[in-house]
Amino acid sequence: MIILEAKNLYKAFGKTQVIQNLSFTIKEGEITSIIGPNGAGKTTLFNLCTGQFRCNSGEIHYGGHRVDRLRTHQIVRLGIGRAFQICNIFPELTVFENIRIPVISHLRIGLHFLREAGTTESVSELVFQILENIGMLERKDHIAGKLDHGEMKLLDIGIALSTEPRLLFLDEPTSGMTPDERKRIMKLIEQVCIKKKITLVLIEHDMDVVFSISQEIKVLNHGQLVAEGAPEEISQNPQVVEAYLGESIAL
Amino acid sequence: MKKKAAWTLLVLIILCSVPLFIPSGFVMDMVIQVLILGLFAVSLNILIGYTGMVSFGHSAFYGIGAYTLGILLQKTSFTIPMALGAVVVFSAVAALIIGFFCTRLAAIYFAMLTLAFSQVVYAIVTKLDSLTGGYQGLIGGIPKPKVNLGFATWDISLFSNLYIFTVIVAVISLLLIKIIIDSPFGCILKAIRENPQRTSYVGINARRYQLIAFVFSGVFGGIAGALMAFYVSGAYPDFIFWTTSAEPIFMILIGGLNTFLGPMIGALVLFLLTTNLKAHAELWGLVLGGILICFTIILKKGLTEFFYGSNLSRWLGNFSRSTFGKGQDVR
Amino acid sequence: MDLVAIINCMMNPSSLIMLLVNTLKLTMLLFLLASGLSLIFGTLEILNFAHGSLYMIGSYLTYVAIKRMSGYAFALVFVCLAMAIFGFLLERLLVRRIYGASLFYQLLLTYGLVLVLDDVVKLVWGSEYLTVEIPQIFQRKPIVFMGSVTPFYSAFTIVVGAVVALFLWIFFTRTKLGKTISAMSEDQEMLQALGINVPLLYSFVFALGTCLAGLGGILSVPLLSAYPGMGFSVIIYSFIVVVIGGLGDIRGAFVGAFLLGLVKSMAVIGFRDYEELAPFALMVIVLVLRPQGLFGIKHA
Repeated sequence: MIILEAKNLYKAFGKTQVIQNLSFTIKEGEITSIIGPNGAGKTTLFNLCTGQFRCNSGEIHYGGHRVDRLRTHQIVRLGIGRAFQICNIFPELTVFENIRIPVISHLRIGLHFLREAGTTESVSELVFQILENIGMLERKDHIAGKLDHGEMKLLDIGIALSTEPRLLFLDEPTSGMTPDERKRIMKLIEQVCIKKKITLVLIEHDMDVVFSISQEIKVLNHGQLVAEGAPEEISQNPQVVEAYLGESIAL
Repeated sequence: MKKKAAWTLLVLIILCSVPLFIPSGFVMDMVIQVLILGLFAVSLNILIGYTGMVSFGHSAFYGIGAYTLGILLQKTSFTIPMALGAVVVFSAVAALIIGFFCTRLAAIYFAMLTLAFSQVVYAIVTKLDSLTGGYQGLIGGIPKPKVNLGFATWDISLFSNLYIFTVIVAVISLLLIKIIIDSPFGCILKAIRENPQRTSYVGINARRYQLIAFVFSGVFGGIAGALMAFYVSGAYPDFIFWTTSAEPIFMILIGGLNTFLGPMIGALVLFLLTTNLKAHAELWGLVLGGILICFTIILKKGLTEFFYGSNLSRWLGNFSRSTFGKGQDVR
Repeated sequence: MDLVAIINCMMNPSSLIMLLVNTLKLTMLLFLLASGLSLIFGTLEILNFAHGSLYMIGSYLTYVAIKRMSGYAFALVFVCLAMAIFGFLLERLLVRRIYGASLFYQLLLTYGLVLVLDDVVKLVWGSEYLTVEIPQIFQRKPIVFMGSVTPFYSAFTIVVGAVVALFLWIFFTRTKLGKTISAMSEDQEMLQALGINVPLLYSFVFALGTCLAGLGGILSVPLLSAYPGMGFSVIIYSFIVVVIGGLGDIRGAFVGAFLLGLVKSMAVIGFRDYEELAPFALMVIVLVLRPQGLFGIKHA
């Protein structure tokens, strides 16, 4: 079943056409990776799908709703989440407090003025659960801005997961990671996302990661869809291999 | 909640027993002024310290509260509780209108538009001179009708009763602000301060929360203004002039943005400075300005680390990044 | 609101010209201030709340210079140089310490500066209004055109403003230094990597901004006199102009100054009661329609 569909997207910044006539579909429950060189428009695509930018023309449909004209928070409420390439957390708050924010939003108690956030059990329970899922429970009182890179990434993903999205955009989840950290992230993605049948759309440059977990790969260049298909097809597509994957690629 | 109630009760008891044990006019005057100015500053800190919105027009609400109370008590037969209720309503409405326009803007424009609106309020108030006394202000004193408590009437024109009334209203207002800050709503405000973009990515309509914070801030600022009008028995255009907006900012700077009662400490410091420098009125600007300059340079450099820990300096960095819109690296 | 009066004025060529002249005079004065403010913000990313006080210092220095020197031209040059040096020193000593600091701290530092400068001026020159006569060279017959009467000094002000605007435009679009400064607001690191002395450029920009503010003070002091606190009324208007035009954009500063000048001039004719409110109403309208100002860049 198609969960996300984009039709004829165009986006330009000034005179630069960043996305041109881009159309694609994402199937529910699948893991799709979007690859392509820098400047191909991958992050812009994420921004278009999540309401940060308005497309100049075209439509985006998610789960039966038309979302290209909605604002980010409205799109998120429909069930989309996003983790960022450059960690986008709440730096002065503790890890616990960082997760508490999306939980409060998800439980729709953001406008409750009279309760005390610290002693609301329903909130704390959920936060602890999520922290355990992402493996950050022992770090709960750490100031988020002081975490090391790998843990910050985990936290970033954790924040995105806390709103229980059906579709999750992950922007370069393993960038800048040591091999151990990479394993941790991949484990998290597999256990939590796959277990919960969250549809994943990743931007990734690490081809090992891309080919090991993706069910579908889409190749972007100059804002256009150059190729799409299962990993085996993509790895054998001569143009793609030559231009983007380099000559040796181990499957 | 219980802890808050206990603390509030303790503070109320201590402050209310001052007239009994230290019947000094000076001390009671100091408590009243520090409480009122402190409330004014704490109400602004809802915006600056907690939500990260720097408003330069807070005097608008101070003035609206003062004039609302003064006009209603002078010209109508409103009782004091009713007048206070009207202060809340008017301040809230004004804050909704002003906030609606201002919260649509990025940080710098926000600061300037709030300043502009406070000048608009100033212009309106001074123009409506039949109602407000124009540039002279609301003179002739503000009547203090006896408050009907059911079992007795309370004469607030007596100084010690006025003191107790001010203490009760101020402390309860502060309690309410603390409750709001500690609620889930308060958590979201802090998140908006840190990273407004991410809050929208967790489903929060940041603008709506900013507007609500603006309204709360305006309401409590109005209450502070009303209490001051009551105390000095008058309301003056100076209450609304932009220089009045600078005082709570000064208090917040000195006392600390990140703590709930920090601005209150700043209020105490400002009060002590004003009373001690009254003799040298010509140098007031020089001293206050000099202190502001020194503090700004030092705080930015390193006193932060010393007093409040390195959190504040990191927050400053983030805040400036978000102010100038260089938040995310977008390809 | 007296629409009839406004329409009458626009129908009548002589009063229309006088309206335009008045508008342009205000435009130029506002532009001198707003351009400096916009420049400082666009390049240094500092919102200089003390800009009005710099204008005030310019006026006071003019008072001093005209009394002590023979010749308006000398006085002009002296004050411009003095302001540039003052601006340079301010930047080196104070302003550069808050680069990158949050808006809160910038406004606080510059507000502290306002308080200090106001009191310094009071201590040195007292609190009364200091009047400066319109210099001899400008005491000529007014220019008469199609029934309108324009004082010579007003014409001079407009010409100076136009020349400065032209100079700024040429400087920023045609000269190497000017283009470098424009680039600074984009990418300082790149410029530093190219070996350009960025800190010196920063000082230069601030000095230029201060000089422009001082020039505004020089031109307006024969009309408005010098007094402590004169900075405030002007800073609010400068902010309005810069906000309408879009922060950091000098074209915007000019357009904004023109709009504000127009509104104020029309207010005198048609809606005197709301003369003070009119500029704010203009700002609110512009910001509602275009939150980033007319020429500003929209942030996501």
